[in-house]
Amino acid sequence: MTAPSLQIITWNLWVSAPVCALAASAMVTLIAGAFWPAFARWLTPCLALGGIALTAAFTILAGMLGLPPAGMQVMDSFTVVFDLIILIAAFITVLVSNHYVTRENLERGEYYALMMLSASGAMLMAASDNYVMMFLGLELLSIPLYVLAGFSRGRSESQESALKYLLLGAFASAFFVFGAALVFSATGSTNIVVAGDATERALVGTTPIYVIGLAMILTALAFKVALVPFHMWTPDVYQGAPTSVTAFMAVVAKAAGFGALARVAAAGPEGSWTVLLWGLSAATMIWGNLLAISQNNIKRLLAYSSIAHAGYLLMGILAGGRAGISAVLFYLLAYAAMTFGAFAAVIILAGRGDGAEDIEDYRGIARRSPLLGWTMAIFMFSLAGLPPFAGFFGKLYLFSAAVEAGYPGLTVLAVLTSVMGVFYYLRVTVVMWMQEPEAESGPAAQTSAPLLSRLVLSALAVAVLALGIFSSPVLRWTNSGSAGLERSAEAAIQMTLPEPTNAPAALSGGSR
Amino acid sequence: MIPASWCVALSAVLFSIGLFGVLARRNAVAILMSIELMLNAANINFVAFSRSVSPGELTGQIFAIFVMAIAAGEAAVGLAIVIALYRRRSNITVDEVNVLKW
Repeated sequence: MTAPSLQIITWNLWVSAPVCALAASAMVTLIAGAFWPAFARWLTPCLALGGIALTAAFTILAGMLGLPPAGMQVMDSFTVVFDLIILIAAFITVLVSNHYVTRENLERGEYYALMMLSASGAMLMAASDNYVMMFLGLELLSIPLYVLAGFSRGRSESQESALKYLLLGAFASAFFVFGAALVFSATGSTNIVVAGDATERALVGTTPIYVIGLAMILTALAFKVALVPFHMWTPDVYQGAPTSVTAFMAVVAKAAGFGALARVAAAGPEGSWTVLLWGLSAATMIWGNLLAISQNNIKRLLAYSSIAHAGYLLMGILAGGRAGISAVLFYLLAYAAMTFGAFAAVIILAGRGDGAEDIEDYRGIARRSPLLGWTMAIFMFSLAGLPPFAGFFGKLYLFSAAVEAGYPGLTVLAVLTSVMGVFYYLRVTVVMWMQEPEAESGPAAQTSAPLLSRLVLSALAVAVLALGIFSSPVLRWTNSGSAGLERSAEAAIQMTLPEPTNAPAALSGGSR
Repeated sequence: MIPASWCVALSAVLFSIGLFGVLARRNAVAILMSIELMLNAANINFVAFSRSVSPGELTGQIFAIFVMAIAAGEAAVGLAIVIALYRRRSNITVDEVNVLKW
């Protein structure tokens, strides 16, 4: 009896190995930053990059082992694909951050450590098939982000951003916990799939409580990924936070929310759930794009653009199935590349103290710096969804998944709103390329940047192009991820069914 | 034994009080307190139902312990942010935190 239980413990350790590796590397980074502050400048980012690479190795290794679900966490191919997207995003964040933290004097060891802890929370969220674990992941993602949002303590915008993010984030997580409590009280389980399955089989008579609980969980996740009408915090928090943190928030926090949504939606009840997601998606696309048009601050523009993209991504979740989730994963990857690119360019352009953040400040910049002009144009075209860039193919896969799943109306709406998007994305490009620079206008935008920043910027532009041109191998990879999500949902149901006799099947057949 | 429905009622009332507090209070610390109230309302639910819906298992209790630990962490970070704000402005009214368009 002892031997098999030991076996199970080993498997469990492998399932949580990637998250543990990242958290442990974060601790090492933190300690190194505290003990050798003289070397912190280059030591902590190097340690962070090393830790992220190590975690990626662990993720791939754990994925190859083909591990069974381990109680609260699953290491299926969805987790592997998702974790790697998060890790790529974290890796790019460290590279993008380097120039920013040096310029703004934010070089403290905890900066990278907090970022890694936050990323480990994002990984945990996508890897959890249990509301308890998902809540832990949510908080592990959010609490370091509250600190990071207020990281430049000298600027009152940053403090304000931290306070707003904290209050609304904590408010949202209270909704998550209460929703999980309702789901638990209705079904007697905190496992996402088992709770959904129990309700579907009408094993318990309290379905309304389950639906209310699920709606509260959806509210909390909608706060995290900034869906309309839970998006109010986004522009303020994105504008006030240090730009490198904003980039991280826009990509990793959003991705984590969608990873969790994919897990929850797989177990969501039909009917009311679909209507809810449809409405949220439509409202988010329309409102996000509409408000983005009138923005002058580039960070606020990107904030509203991230809201609009959340609407498109939710379409994939709504479509569900293999095609829908695969499209979401692909879009997240494309979105990560183009959003990081745009923020990396903004970091360079804004100059010391983030002086030049208005779009008008970037007049004629492309002539002074062709690199910034070209790369920013590529990122903006891709965000607008023009071919042949990654954003176009991401939208194509999402839209076709939605049409196949039977949501043509929503798809038409999505196409129309992306046309609206073209307007404000192209405006940035037009300002940078076609307008004359004004000598005496406000704080001048900067074009000089260290070699690393320029390399990262070019690499991201190439990635956006490559993801577009070579989209099919990447899509095959994300397909494997969505297949894993389906498989582990089936496995979770198989594990909990006590005995596969004919009686429960007949019962469920009758209740439908 | 107290019936589970009483516990649900209590937790719903606590949650609503917390919700009202978050929406109505303008003091950052009071808002944090209201959020704690909402989290603890959920804890009551968990502990109360642990015995009736999953007898013999400790899922509910364990979730409650996790929530308490996380609430402590959140409160620590939250108060730190509020203190940082207070040092700068000598004021923690959220209405006056309006450098950015709200």
